[in-house]
Amino acid sequence: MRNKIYLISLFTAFLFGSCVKNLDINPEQNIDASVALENAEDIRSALIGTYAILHGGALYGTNLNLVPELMGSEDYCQWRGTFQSFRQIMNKGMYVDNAEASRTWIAAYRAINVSNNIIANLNKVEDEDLRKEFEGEAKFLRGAMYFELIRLYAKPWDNTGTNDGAGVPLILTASNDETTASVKKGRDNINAVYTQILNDLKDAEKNLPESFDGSERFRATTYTAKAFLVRVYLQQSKFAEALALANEIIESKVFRLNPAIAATFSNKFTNETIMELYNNDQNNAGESNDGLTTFYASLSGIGRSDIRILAPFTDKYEATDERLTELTYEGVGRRSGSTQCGKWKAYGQKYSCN
Amino acid sequence: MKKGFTCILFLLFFHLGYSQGLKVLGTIKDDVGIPLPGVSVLVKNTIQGTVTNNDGNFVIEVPNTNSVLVISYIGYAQQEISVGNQNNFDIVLKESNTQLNEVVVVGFGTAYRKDMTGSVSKLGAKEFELQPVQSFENAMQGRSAGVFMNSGSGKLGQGLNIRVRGISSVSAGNQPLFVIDGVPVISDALGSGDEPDNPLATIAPEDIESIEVLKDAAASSIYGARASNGVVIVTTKSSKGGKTKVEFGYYGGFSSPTRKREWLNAAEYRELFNYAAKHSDYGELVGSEEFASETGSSDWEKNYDTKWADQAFQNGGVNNAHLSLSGGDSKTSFLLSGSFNNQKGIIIGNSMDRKNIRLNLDHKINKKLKFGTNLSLVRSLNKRVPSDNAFSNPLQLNALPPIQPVRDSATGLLNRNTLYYNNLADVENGNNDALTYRSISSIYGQWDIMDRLSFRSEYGIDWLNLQEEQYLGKLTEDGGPSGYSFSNQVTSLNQNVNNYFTYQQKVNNDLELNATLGMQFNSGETNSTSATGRGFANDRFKKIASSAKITAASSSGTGYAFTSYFARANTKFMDKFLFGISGRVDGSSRFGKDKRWGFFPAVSAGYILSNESFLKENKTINFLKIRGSYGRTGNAEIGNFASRTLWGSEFVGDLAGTVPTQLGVSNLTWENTDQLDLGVEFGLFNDRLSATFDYFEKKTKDLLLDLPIPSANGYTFITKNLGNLSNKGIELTVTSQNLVGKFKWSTTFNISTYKNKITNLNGSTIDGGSRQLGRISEGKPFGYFYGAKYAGVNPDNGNAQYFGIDGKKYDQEDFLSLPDSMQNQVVGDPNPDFFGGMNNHFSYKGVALDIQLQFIYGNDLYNTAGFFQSVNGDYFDNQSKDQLAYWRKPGDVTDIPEPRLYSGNGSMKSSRWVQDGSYLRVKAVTLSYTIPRNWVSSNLKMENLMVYMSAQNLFTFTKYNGYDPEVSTYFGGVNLGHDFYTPPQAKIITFGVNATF
Repeated sequence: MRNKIYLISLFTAFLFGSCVKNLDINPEQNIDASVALENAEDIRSALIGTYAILHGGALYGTNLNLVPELMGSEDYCQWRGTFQSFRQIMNKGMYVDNAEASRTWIAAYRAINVSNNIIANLNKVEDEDLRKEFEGEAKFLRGAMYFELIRLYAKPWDNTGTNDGAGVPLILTASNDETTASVKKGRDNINAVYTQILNDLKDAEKNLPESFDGSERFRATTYTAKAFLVRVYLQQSKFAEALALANEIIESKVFRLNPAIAATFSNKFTNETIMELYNNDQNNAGESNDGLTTFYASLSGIGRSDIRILAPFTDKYEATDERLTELTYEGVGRRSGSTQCGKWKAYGQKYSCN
Repeated sequence: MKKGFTCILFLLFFHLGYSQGLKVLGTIKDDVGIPLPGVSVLVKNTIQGTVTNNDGNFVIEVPNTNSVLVISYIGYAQQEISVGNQNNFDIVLKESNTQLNEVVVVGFGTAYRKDMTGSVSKLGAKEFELQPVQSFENAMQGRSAGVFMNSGSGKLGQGLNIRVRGISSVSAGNQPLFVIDGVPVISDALGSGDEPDNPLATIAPEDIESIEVLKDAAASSIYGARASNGVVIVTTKSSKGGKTKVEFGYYGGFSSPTRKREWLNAAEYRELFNYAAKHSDYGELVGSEEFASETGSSDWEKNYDTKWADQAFQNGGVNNAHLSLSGGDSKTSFLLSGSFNNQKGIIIGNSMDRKNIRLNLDHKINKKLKFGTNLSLVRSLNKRVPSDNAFSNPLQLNALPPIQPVRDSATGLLNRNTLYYNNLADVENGNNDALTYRSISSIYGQWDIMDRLSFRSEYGIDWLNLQEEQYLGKLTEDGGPSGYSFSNQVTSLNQNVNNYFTYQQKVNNDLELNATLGMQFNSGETNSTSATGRGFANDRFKKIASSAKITAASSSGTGYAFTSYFARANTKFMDKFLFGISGRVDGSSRFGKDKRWGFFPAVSAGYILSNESFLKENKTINFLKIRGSYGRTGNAEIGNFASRTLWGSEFVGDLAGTVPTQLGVSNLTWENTDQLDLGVEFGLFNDRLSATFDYFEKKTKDLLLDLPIPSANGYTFITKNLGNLSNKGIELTVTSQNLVGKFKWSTTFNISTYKNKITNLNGSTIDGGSRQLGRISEGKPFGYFYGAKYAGVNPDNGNAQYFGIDGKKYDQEDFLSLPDSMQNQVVGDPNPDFFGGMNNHFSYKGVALDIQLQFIYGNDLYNTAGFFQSVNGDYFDNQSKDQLAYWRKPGDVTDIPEPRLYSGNGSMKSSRWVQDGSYLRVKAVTLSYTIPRNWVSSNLKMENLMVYMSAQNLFTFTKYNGYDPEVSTYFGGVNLGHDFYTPPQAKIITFGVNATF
C-alpha cells in the first residue's frame, strides 16, 4: 500500500510539474524591441523602415503632397470628396480633431523616433565608414521630418523677425520604453527647430554617399541632403545659399531633365528625380481610402476623383503646353468629365517628393 | 516547491480501505413504463456509481446492506433507496421540473444542485431539442438566468453577443469561455470579414446533452484567469450501453423576416422630394432636375415603382436530419451519430450547410480502469453576406429610389444607373464562401484508484480549418473592372490536457468531503495564409491562379499557452452546513514576464435550513437553502502579445524595413474581477413550486486601457492595467408545477438584471465614432448614448430643434452655435433594466405544447441609418413612410422637420433616432404528439414515434420601428444597441418527426 501511495505521488508530481516551460511563446510577425537593433544589418533595416513610414499616406504617400496643395488651392484645385478632414484644410477651417493633422504629426514623429533609436545604437556598427553613412542617413530623415513639421505646424519663418515663436517639440533622444515614451516636452521655438534641421541636413550632406543602386535608389544621397537644404534655405529666404547649393546639384551632372514631362511621374527612377519613394502592387499608400492615385485619378476602376483641377489654372497654359496636355486629362471614371491631375494614374506607381 | 506541496495535499486526501462487494441490479422506468437510459445510480457518500443502459437496467456493487442508492435523472425527482437484503429493484421515477435535484456539471466534476454553494444555470437537451436553433448558444436565450444574448443580426453564421452577468471588460474580451467535453474551444471569429463569424455554429445542437453556465466566483474560479465573463460548459450526449437503439429525426420548414419595413412608393417619393427641392436652403430647386444630376438618369420622368427593400429578402428554409445509434454491453458503450443541416437565409445569397459526424465511446478495462473518446468532425459551408456597413449589403437597397427600376427593361441586365450601387450584382456576379472543417475530439482515461479516489486524464484538441473564398465579378463595385478574388486559409489548433484527482468521502454521519485537485495545460496556435488577385479574363475564371496580378498576399501565425493548477474542496456538515473553497493558479504566455502567474481563489458557504429540526416537519417548505460566495476570477483575453515592446516590418517599394510597432509594459496582465454572490433556493409543497434567487456584485479592476502618451515620442498610447468597473444585479428563476395529474402544466419563469458602471477610466472617455452615439466614460454604464438631444420641430418655421443642456429648445442653427459643452448630453442607455423568459409546458397523454417567451425591457436602440432613411428627404435616399408627416405650414405640430433638400434640417447625429428597444417575443412554440407506444410497437415495430411542429420568433411585440429589436450592428466594442441596415431575425416554422427503433 505504501508503495502505491509513493508511486501515485511521484506520478502526480511528474504530471503537474512539466508544463511551465511551454509558456514562452514569441510572436511570429514581430520581434522584441531589445533585439531589433543589434548590428549593422538591423540598423540598415531600421533605416529602410523609416523610409517605409515616410512612404505611407500620412507623409509623402498622400498628405505631404496633398495637404500643401489644398492649403493653396484657390483658383487651382478643389477637394470634392466626402472626407471632411481634407475639405476643412481646403477651406482653411480645421477643427482640433482634424484626422490629417493628427496622423501626419504622429507619423512624422514616429519616423523621428526611429531615427533617434538608430542614432542611439550606431555603436553597434563596427565599420566606421558605414557608421558615418548610417548616421548621415538617420539625420537626413530626422531633419527632413522636422522640416515638414515646422512648415505645417508652426508659423512660417520670418526673414526679418526673431523667430522665437512656438515651433514644434524637438525630440532628439530615443524613446523605447514607458519612461522615455511618456516624457512631455513643450514646443521649441522656430529658430531652434530650423537650427536643428540645418545641423542634421548638413551632417547628412557630409556623410551620405553619392548614390545608391537598384531597388535602394529611394535612399537619400548627399544630393538629396543638398536638395533638402536648398528647400530650407528657400523657406528662410536665404536665396544666395539656395542658389549656390542648387547649382552644385545641377553642375554635378548626376541629374538631367526627362525628355517627356510625364515620365518623371510614371516611370521608376528616372534621371530627373533626386528622391523617389515608389509603390508596387502590394506596397502602396492605398487603393480605396488613401493614396494619391485614389484621390486624384478618374479612370475606369481607378481613383475616385476627389480632387479636380479648376479652369482658372488650366487656362493659364497655352493649348499645346505639355504641362497641360500631359499632366491633366478629362476624367473617365468616377465623377467623369472634370479635369484631373495626370501625375498619379496607377496604384502601383511611384511618386517623387522632390 | 510546487511539486512538494502537491504531494502533501495529495497525501492529506488519502484514506485507506478496501470494499467488500455486494452486487445489486435493477431497472428504472418512468411512470408510463418507458425504461430510462442514463439515469445516475450512486452509492450514497461514495463516488461509486453507474448509469442505466438503454434498457433502463443497471448493475452496481455496494459495500454492504446498509448502503443507500441515490437515483437521479434530469427532469425527474431524486430517490434514495436502502439496499437492505434486496438485490433486484424495479424503480419508477416521477417527473419533476424542479432544479434542486439535478446533477450539474461544474468543471472537472459534477455536483448535486441542492448541495451546491455556487451559482450555475443549466439547460438540458430536452428544453431545446425540438427547436430549429441556428447555433446551439441560441438555446440559452430567455432560458438561462443571468445570460444576456443578442444574436446581433439575422445573418446565418454570424457571431453572437453573449454576456454573463453584465459586461466585465472594456477592451479585453467579453464573451464567456466555452468548454466542450473538457476542451476550451475556439469561439472567437477567425475569418477575415469585418464582422465576426461564429465558429460555434459548426456544432450540431442534436449532439448536446446539457449546457451549464458557471456564473459566480465559487463556480467559475476553477477556470481562473479565463472565467470573468462566465464559463459555458457543453457536454455532448453519450450512450449508457444496452441494446442498440436507433434514433432518427428530421425537420424541415421555412423562414421569413420577423418584420419588413414600409418605405415610400414612387408617388410619395416624388411628392416628398418635389417639396424638399422647392424648399431647399439653396433656393427653389426642381426635384426632377436635381435627381437627374445626382444619378445621371431620367427615371423621374418614367413610371417605375420598385419595392427595393424587398429585393434584399428571399424565402428562407431549413432541412435537418439526424441519425444516431447507441448501445453497448457491460464493458463498452457507444454513440455514433451523424447529422446534416441546411439553412437558407432570409437575405439573398445567405446560407449555411453543415454536416457532422460523432463517435462517443466508453470502455471499461476492468473494475478500476476505463477509457473513452469523443470524436467529431464537421464540415460547414457558410455563404456570407457583406458587412452591414458596406454598399454591397443587400439591406442597403432600401435606400434606392422607388422610381428607379431594378433592371434595364431593354437588356434585362441589372440597372447600373442607380443612386447608390445596385448591389444585386454582388449576388449575381460574386460569392463569399466560408468553408470550415472542424474536429473537437478528446480521449480520456480514468483510474478508480480506490473507493473514494479516482484519477482522470484527458487530452483534447479543437482543430479548425477555415477556407474563405470570395469572388467579385467585373460588374460589381468592388470587383470591377476586371474581377477580384480573395482566398484565405486559417488553421487553428487548440490542445488541452486535464489531469485531476477526485476524492469523495463520508467521514462520519456529520461530515462529507468532496475534493478535486488537478492541472490543465492549454495551448492554441493559429496560422493563416491569404492572397488577393485582380485581372481575370472573364467571370468564369474565379481562382487566383487565373488572375493577372497578385495585389496582396500574406501569411502569419500566432499562439498562446496556459499552464494551470487547480483545487476545490466542498464539505457538508450535519447535512445542512456547506462549505466550499477553490482556487486556481494560472500562468500564461499572454501575461507580461513580470506578472506571469495569477492566483484565483474563491470561498463559499451554504446553509440548508430545511434540514434543521424546526423546518424538517414543515408541510409547506420542503427545501430552503441560503448560500453565499466570494472570489476572484480573471480575464485573459488581452491579446497574445500585448505586454511586449515590439518591432515589425514595413515596406517601401520592393524593400522591407523594420519599425517599432508597439510599446508594452512587462507587468501587463489579466484583468481581475472580484465577485460576491448571495443566493436563496427553496422548494414549496413538495417541490410543486421552487425558486432560485441570486444577488451578485462584480467588481473588475486592472482593466486594460490604452493610456495616451505624447505622440512626439513616437508612440501614441501604452496599454496598461488601469481601469475599474462594476456590475450588480439579481437573477430569479421560479418553477411551478401548476397541474400534475393527467393534464400537466408547468411554468418556468426567469428574470435577470445587471447594472453596469464604469468607475475608473483614468479620466478618459472612449467614443463610438462620428455616426455612433455609444460612449464609455466614468460614472456611466458601458456604451451609454451621448449626443445631441432632439426636441422636435419648431411649429413656427419647420426647423429641427434640439435641447441644450440648459433644457431649452434651440433651432438647429442656434444650437450649432452653442459651445460643445452645451450641446451634448446623455440620450440613452443600451443596457436593459431587466430581461428574461417564461416557459409554459402543457401535456396531456401524448400531446405536449411548449411555449417559450423571451423579453428584454428598458434598453435603448439607435437607428444609425436614420440619418439616411428617416431624415425628411435631405438627400435622395428613399425614406421611411413616417417621414410623410412632415411640417408644411406654420402651426403644424409634428416631429418631422420641413423637408429641405441638401440642407441638413434635422440630419445631425442625435436622439432623433433613439428608440425604446424593449420587446416581448414568442421565442419558441412546439406542439408535439407522441403516438401511443403500444400502437407504434405493434404496428410499426418502433419503440417511439413523435411528430411535431415548431416555430421560432413567432411573434414580436415592440415599439421599435426598425426591422427587429434584437439587433446589434458590429461597430466595435463601444457601440451597443446600434442598428445600421442590419438584417432582421428570421421567423422559422418547422415540421418534424422523431423515431426510435
